[in-house]
Amino acid sequence: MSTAIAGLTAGPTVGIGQIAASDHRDVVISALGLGSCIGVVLVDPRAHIAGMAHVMLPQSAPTSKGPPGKFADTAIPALLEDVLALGADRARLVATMAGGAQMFGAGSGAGLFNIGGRNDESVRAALADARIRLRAHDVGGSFGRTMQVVVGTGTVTVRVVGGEAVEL
Amino acid sequence: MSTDLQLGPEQMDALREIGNIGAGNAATSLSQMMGSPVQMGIPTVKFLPVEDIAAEIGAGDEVVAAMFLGVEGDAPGHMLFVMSEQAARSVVDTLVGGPAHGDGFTEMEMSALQEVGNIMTGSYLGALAQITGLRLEPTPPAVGVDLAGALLGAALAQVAMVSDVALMLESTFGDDDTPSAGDFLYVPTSEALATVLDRLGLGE
Repeated sequence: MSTAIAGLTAGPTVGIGQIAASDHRDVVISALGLGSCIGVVLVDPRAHIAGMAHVMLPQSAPTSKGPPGKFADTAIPALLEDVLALGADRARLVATMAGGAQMFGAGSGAGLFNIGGRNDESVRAALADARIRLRAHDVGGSFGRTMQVVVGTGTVTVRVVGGEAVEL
Repeated sequence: MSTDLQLGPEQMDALREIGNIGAGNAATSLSQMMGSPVQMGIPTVKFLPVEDIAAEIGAGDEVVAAMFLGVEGDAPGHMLFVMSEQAARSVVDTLVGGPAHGDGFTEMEMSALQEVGNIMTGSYLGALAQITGLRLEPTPPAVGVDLAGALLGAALAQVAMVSDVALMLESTFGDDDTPSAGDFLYVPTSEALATVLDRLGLGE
């Protein structure tokens, strides 16, 4: 499903807990298979800068270990820092998010908290804290999503199994 | 939760052996269900941050069937059984009768996959319980057919709620045509790991 977009360079694939940002116009940043995880994209369309975080859990704790991109509350500030470092204008930044699904049915006994829903809430709260406008979102449901952003245009697409890429 | 557990080569060997026996039992169960031989790869033992497990087993946007469950009892943790879509299709066609009618899996086929998860994990844990004398109970598996990254990410998020670092016992399954059709992961909590090692006389 991660087929290259014509004329563009397949850029970084953002794994769980990772953050990637770029100012190369023809680069595409992707997160392959977001389940309960949430992909958050920040774009400055005029400066042609975009970044993506692949958030796994809603909230870090003082004893938490792992990269900042792992938790919603630490991922948004870290992603913001990365796009600002590339020269993005904070006032122009807009966010797009996708994921936050409930992949396994309820009542399985596997200790299933609704992590997807909690990730959704936490990402929104962190964006609000950072005063970044959420431009579009595609969250919830019970299916996985692959998310891509074209750095040059800021175009964000989401694809599900058996579906076409849909622009958000 | 202790995340600074250090394992020596002797302990890693013992865990690999446990993985070997557990997965061997599970492979036998699977081949009985399939009516054809199922081979097992050499198990690997890795100690790594939970968020790195999906990348470690190469989960991206290929479609897989995943069965995910909790382990309760003396050595709690999680288990995950991941099969390629093709392997899952072939197991389901054997169990429910096929060939299938178009894309996706029906409700009955999903139940069949759940039962496969039940039997596989039951045999794995049964072997582990027998070696250690510990009480290990699987919870009913949750099953999903979707993007590998999505299913693994969701399962690992559950694991990450209780631990930052995980011991991953990984075994691959397959037959002559597709040598790595399935992937079996057992991720005990740090305490559970200490309990298991203690039972084997390899504790701190």
